[in-house]
Amino acid sequence: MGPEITTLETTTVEIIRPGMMTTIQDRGRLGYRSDGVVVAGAMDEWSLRIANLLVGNLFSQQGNPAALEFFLVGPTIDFHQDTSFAIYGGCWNATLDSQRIQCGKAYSAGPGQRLEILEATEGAWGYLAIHGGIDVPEILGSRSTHIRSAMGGFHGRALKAGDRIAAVMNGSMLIPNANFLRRYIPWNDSVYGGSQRSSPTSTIRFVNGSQWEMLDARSQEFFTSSKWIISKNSDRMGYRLQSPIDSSTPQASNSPRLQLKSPFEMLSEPNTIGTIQLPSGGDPIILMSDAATTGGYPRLGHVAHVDLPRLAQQRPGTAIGLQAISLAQAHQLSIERQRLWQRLVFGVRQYLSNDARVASSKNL
Amino acid sequence: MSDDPFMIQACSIESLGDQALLVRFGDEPTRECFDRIHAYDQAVHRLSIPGVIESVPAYTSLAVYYEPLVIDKFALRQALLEIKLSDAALRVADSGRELIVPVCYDQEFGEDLAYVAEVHHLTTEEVVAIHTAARYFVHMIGFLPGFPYLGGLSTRIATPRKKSPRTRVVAGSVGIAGTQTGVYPIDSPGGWQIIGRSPWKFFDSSAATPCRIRAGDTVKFNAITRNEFRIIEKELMVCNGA
Repeated sequence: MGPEITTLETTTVEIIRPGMMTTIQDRGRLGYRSDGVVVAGAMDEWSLRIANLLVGNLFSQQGNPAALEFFLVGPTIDFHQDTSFAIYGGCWNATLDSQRIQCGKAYSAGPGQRLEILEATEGAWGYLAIHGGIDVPEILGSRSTHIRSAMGGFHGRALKAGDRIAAVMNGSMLIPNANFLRRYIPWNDSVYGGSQRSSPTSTIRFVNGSQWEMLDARSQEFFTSSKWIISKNSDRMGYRLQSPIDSSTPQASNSPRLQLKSPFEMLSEPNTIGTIQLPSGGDPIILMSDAATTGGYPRLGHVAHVDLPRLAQQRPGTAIGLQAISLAQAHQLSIERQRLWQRLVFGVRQYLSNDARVASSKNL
Repeated sequence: MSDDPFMIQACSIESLGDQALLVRFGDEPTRECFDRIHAYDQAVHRLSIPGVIESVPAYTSLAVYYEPLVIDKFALRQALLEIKLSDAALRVADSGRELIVPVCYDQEFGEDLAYVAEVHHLTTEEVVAIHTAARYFVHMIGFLPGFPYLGGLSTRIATPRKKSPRTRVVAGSVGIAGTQTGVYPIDSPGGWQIIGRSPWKFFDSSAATPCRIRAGDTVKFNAITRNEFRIIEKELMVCNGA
């Protein structure tokens, strides 16, 4: 049987070592927030998309392919059937049968082959996409895992050694198998539309929230001029920010860095992924994919949708800067991001439309 | 103008990040406010505006999530401003049920009960008596799957959230945050003052209706002993085939 036949059937992979926080994620569970159902979904949805694109799984209005997501340390898996896979999001030391492989590129793998994804050398969240997409039951329209409510993914939990998961050709593939193996998309800041040169501190853009004006002037200034450290206490639910000044000036750490003009106890309101909330302790928390649907802490702002993937990739302990932008600017960035996506899809389509021509071409 | 439509319009519409608008209906979470929000929410559903992903009603507001690549913010805002509701539409189907929820207020479960009592110069028994005396209206479901936000907490036991949220609050925990009270349906981090725990399962993603409590229901808490808690917990486990 040729690979074309095999990929029409189920292909199975087995988890040998699970890595860290390895779960099945797609773009998230939309449409049920009014029941309090958390969106979940990939922390870096952009990298999830590209990982899937690299193996021909198309994101569209209908297509929402799932992949494995892992944090800082990737999983080791055995393949039991012929398939193709790609790793994207961050840079990872990875081997296929002990041969070093690249991230950002699709590979073929067959029965008995072992893929080891070790530690991330850059970034925090990685995605392993498999041709056809990970096949687990859709719960409320999504395959994303939300561990706290034990919903979706593989029995609502992180993957463990011995778990067998399947990928299935579902007919919504962009590209036939075996034709996409030469496409290489390196992972760096430019893939998020930023500059090629990475700056030591990533600037995350946000639009003002309802309670921004309730911050006193000193706090507003501090919020956007200070560097903020992503706390080790951060997870899929939220990234906690700490001011680096806390450790150097112990006497100042008694008073919060950010203060409202007057104490404010608010009724709970709907959240967004990216909402920057301010608990009374004074250190802001940016809500991430597993964010509660509603919350009652004052909202200083909301991270621009396009910057959520970049923010997710900042490791605990690294510093970020925060920059206020207008809503119009945020929407313009979304439009630019969509154009970038269209170019990536076009690049892959064009690349594959004439395999022989493309094989000899170096300018793609 | 048709036959005297009760013009209900949003008080204000503001942005909630770059992919949602927040429609505010007032400052007080009254029953009237609830009816207006839910009537408005149903109208948003009926319009099925392309690019609108979903809407989430809260105490005094409604978030409308949208895809800015499909619908322009100004177009959406205009569509929302044009929603007007008649008197009839305001009479939201009266489907609210009355639920009696068993809660054990023992120290073992109510880790912050003593703190809440101390803040208000009450005994823990008095706090429990006040908490179980009221009937609570379910204003909204949110925060976590199936989490009911209950209105009607006595100001005598209203207590601000914890300064720093707990990293884990056990499923079934009953808490207070400001003038709100509620039940954690699943294990979760959270900042509410925890005063007790119910043996009920409030959320089950495999059930036909995952949420045990719905917006519009009325909830009353019934104090039970630790022994009763264990019995109910056991019964539920048998029911679930565990």
